[in-house]
Amino acid sequence: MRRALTIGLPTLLLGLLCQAATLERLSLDEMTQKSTAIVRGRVTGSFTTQHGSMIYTHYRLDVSERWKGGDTAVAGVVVPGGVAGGLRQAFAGVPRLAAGREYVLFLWTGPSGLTHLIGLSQGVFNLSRDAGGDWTAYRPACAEVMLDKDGTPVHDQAVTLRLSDLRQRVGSGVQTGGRK
Amino acid sequence: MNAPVRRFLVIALAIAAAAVTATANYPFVHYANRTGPFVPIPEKFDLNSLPNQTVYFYVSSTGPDTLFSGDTVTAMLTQLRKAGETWNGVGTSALRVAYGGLYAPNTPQNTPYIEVSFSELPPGLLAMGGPTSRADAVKDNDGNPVFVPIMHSVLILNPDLSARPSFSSGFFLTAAHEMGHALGLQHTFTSSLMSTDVTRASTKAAPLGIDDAIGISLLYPNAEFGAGTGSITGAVTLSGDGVNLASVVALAGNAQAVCALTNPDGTFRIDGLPPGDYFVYTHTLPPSVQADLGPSEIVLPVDLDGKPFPAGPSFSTRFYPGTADPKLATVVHVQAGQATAGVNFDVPAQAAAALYGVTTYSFPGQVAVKPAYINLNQPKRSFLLAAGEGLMLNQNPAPGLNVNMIGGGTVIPPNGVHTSYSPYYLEVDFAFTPFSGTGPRHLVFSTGSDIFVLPSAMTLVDQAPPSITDVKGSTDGDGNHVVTITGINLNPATTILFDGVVASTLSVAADQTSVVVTPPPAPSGYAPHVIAMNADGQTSLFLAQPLTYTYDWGPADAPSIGLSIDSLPAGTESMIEVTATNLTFAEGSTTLGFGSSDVVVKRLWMVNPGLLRADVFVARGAVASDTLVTVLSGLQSVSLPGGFHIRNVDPVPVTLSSDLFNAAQDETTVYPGGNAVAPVYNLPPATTADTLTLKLNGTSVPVVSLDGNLLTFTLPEGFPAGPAIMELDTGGAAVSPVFVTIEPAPPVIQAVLDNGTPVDADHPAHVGDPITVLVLHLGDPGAPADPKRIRLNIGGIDEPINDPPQPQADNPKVDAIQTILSPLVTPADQVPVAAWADGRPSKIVNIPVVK
Repeated sequence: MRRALTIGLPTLLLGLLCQAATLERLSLDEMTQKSTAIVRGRVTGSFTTQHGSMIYTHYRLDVSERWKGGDTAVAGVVVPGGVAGGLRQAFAGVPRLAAGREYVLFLWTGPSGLTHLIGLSQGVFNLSRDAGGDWTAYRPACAEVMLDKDGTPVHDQAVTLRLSDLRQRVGSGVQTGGRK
Repeated sequence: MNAPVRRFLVIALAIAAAAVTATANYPFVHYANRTGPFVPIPEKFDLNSLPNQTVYFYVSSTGPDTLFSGDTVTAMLTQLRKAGETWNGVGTSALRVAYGGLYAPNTPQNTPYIEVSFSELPPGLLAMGGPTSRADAVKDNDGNPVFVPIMHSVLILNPDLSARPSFSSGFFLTAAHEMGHALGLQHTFTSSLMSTDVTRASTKAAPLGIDDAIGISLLYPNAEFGAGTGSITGAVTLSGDGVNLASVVALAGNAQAVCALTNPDGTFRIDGLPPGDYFVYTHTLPPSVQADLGPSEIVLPVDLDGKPFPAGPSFSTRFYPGTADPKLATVVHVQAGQATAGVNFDVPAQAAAALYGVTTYSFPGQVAVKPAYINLNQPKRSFLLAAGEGLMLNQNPAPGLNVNMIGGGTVIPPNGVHTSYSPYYLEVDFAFTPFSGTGPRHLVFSTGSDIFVLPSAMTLVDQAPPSITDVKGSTDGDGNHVVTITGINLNPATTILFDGVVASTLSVAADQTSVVVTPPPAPSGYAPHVIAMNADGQTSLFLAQPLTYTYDWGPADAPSIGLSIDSLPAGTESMIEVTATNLTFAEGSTTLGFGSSDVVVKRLWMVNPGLLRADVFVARGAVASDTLVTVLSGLQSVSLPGGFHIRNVDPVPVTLSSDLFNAAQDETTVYPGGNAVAPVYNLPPATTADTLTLKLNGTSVPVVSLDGNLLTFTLPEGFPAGPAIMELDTGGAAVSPVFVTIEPAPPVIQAVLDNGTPVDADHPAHVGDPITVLVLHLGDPGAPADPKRIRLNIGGIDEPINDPPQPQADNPKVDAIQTILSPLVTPADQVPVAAWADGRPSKIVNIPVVK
């Protein structure tokens, strides 16, 4: 009897959460495909602005590598929330980028012209040098289990790659149009 | 290979029946300093700046870009309205939440509100919500910061809803969850609505958990919150240092959990707990995905300069007083009106949580369903599947994994924890006993190195979910359209939804295989999705996608509305009549909105299906502008872009307010035979009472006095209860009329007699004696009152009323309720007595009671 039971969840149960915002889990290839730009860069500063009812924190980036997207020396990315005009806006789960740190960022520029992070924290890879001096890209696992589009639970594992491997993987994804 | 399992002999904790359990869920928190004492300063709406203490949410008229196939904007709006109003039903919260209609982008709005928009969100982000607050706190009279006011909140949905049907539980619960953030709540760890979806045990039929109710009540308490409840206080330390943002959970065996997060010094307080016994445990939160983020994506508390307090270190879960084994835990006893103090934990450090994020599924049908609902009467489905970090290793249960249950009567048999037929899931089997019972049950997952407690891991029920197999329309003998819904487990408590609108139930088959309902009004050709929801939390969505019902009747032409007044000055109030063409106003599911939080519908009266009367108030600071007028009624929606105009005029005209109050009783209820007070604004300074004429429904009523802007008048005896149009003539420029509600007078307890003798200090009432309670305004004068409409409570015990209360010969307005004083009443010098007529309560009278 139990073998006949279907583990796949019906689509009406889609919408699995990670973090406070409602996130949909994206694979690396999906992020590659959906990003309008993928950059390696160092955060040089931040400021906040108000767009209608939204407050955005803008991070300035000094881009050292551009793996996808147009050719610009300095880029920026916004995250929702911040303090501006005597108001504070907070959204749980929104990543904070640290000045002076290097990241690989999967970016998406929307119709408004603002450039966002893909899937909030999903699109942020921290860069650091390992003991051997090689660059490593690290993205912690989402704190809780996520579901993919079919509703199948997947454990979001922490992703640790050599930067060169991540670069190569993204590059082949860009070339092939992001097929899995 | 099956993991070893221990039987867990459970103490079934009886929890006192009460609506309130406790605690701080977790708001967005500030602290006044960095050294303590740490008193949380939450972000919340200022009730004093909200009309009728109501925060309205408005949905952007731009709507989503794409909808699920077959879905409609109207369906989505009805679901959003229902999701938002989930927070409106908490009896111990003073905050009301209401749908205010659509708004056009860039409409100026100054009154605090919530906006629901479909702004651009990047791929991977489906929805988000949160408050926008002032940077500085509101202070008390001593200058201490008390709260940080939320000015407005945003709830953003991805404009691409093509994969998210509005009828789904996912859409509804996501909207209700994000609305909780907009009201000022962060995440909780009790499997309630404000938990993340992974552990959440809410359903569309039972969205709010006790922890959610307490969280919102702690932010916006009313006078009833906390009555009869107690608290638990203590601290979580690690090597003597307080741990910030540790979760502390109070867990009763067969009830939902409540939790609090610690302050920076490790102290915590869990309020509002019903008296009883609890397991209390503390656990570290799942790790953040980014540095500088709070664990489990909590927005870190900040000081008044905005500098965050970092979370404390990770530690191993411990049950009070400090054990990893729940069988060795000490229960904590909570008494009403008291704080059980000293519930302290000194926890061991842990590198990182190894077990967390467990999701459970059950199989009421052929497909897995989350949350897990398990039917006691379906033994072949007496199992659940679990997935979570640390549960499985190489497609087997993690080495040393144990699973135990908290909650009475159901056991996990030997070898009852094993790999399921899918290698990703752990299967946990259950054996029921005669003591199993229904309700939530909690699971404890443990390995040698970690413990994870999942509150409400499953809910035991005693019947299958409702199902719908057919939906068919017809007409009754009077030509009214009705719909027969056929299925199983459709009982008198089943709620039938047409999209997000509740249909009125006309009849239920005795074998629970069909329900006949009055469908909400809709245009011809409309096809809502029909869902059944039962009181045990299960819905027909557990078993199948919903059927639709297609309206082969109803208006085919586009609906339209007309307003009797389409313009008001800021700072004024007026009654506005709304007429409709090709649209039927539906009692109980009609919303009229004016597209701005500065224009508030204070009161709505459906005069007939084609006419509404609304009391509309325009805030004093409203900016001159044109706003969008919308009506959502049943399954019909209509918009009038730029249909209302806010004007700025100087001076502001004389304004009569509909906010009547009863000064004598210090209430807002006004009733015939008493005096009422109406605020009147912007009167010329020389105005006196004798220059004013006040009419109700065209009849002049005596004006008693004018004191400042407060006009006192007398409501004549016998004035009919119900809506009444109130008009003021000052002898000058016309004053806009408003409509008010005249209530029937509340019951008044005049005397309590024991065996015919008035009860007083010298003549107490005796338990078991025949008691007579003489009550004014119980029913129609001179006629026996209907016992079904009456309630009498003495000392917390509802007394049975078997015979109709009889009017007194010497005063037909006074009825005598006869009962026998229950032996359950606890004797005391001051035992409260209260009476209700049609839900209207009397004031409490205290009497002495002896055995």
